[in-house]
Amino acid sequence: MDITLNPADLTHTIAFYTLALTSIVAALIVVTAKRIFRAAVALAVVLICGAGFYILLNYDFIAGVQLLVYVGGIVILIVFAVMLTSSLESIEEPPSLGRKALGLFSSLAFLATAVIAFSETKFPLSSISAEQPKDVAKAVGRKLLDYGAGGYVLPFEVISLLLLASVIGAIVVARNPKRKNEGSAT
Amino acid sequence: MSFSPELHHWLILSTILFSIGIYGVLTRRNAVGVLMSVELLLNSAAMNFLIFNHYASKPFIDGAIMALFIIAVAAAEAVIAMALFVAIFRSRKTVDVTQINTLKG
Amino acid sequence: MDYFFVALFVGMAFALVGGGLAISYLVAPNRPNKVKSQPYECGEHTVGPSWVHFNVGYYLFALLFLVFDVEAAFLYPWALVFREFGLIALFEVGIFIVILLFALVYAWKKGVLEWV
Repeated sequence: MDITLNPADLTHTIAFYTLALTSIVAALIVVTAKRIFRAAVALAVVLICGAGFYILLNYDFIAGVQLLVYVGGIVILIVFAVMLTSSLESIEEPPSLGRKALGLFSSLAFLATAVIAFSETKFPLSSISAEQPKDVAKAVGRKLLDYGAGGYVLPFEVISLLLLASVIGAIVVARNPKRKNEGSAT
Repeated sequence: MSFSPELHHWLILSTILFSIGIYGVLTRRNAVGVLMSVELLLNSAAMNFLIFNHYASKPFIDGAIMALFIIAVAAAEAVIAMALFVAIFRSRKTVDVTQINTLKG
Repeated sequence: MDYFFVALFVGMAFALVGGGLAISYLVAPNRPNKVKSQPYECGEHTVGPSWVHFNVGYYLFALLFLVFDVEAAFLYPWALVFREFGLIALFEVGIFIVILLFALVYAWKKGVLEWV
């Protein structure tokens, strides 16, 4: 057992374990909270911790996108959906024992299988001397606009089609057919 | 055995988050809760891409681009799913997935 | 070490909020009675429950916001490397933006942007 005393390494380690503990506890709250609103807040905590992990892995641009889109967008959307579809007082009934057992069994089985699988595997690690691109956002931009081999320009364009389709679908589905608002807008 | 995070520590972390998400998908009654569990799954998948990008192919950036696409797809998916829940709630007055059992609205 | 100050800031934010709550919990006398624990709005009695169902219009606005949020996330790396690629980058991102403009036009046509 060697405990490195390199201070940068030590902060990295402490940050990793703090974030890991926080995100696991918050994830457990997400799946078990009886009040759906608390689950939404815990989801925001998990996602913020996720951004922290990305920073620890040196992908600060992806961390920024995570905060911008996930925490600032998707969680807000989920909060709106919670407000539209349930009341604060409504407490979700706990799942039946059979469902709980099934869920616990499947998740633990997956966990065990995956942990065994990757502790058996020798992953081809990149060499110590390998350098990450200096500016992640710039490297991502170059790859996104690259129309040659290994470029991502087509997926980049298709993402906009996907978003267009989802907007049209969501407006068609969610818009009030009677056009008059029935809910109490305040 | 060292405590500083290596590839395996990261993988175990993302796998734990993924299995918590699986539990949520299987046991949640509220449809919005199911969607939140799905977001947990997507988030841990995106994290796995970044972990392998960082540890196995450091000079390249493809894993980060995959994570970016996962985030964008998660946004599209949340938009559609929430619209469906709102529409279901309007006609059925519930978003309990065990109660929604008819094919006709 | 770039993120040291971010971590410091997070720690201080937690300490400030937690410290404030803890001190007020420890110092403030706690003698509730029926009148004191009533909710009030500017001295008035509250009308109805505070948890009302929101109009679906709010959701549709949030949806449009999220879509253009994603667009912004993709435009940022594009803007960083725009000079390296030149015209072809403009063309590529032009397609991207025009496709998303259709979403805005559709929402506009359907009256989503009108505040009821």
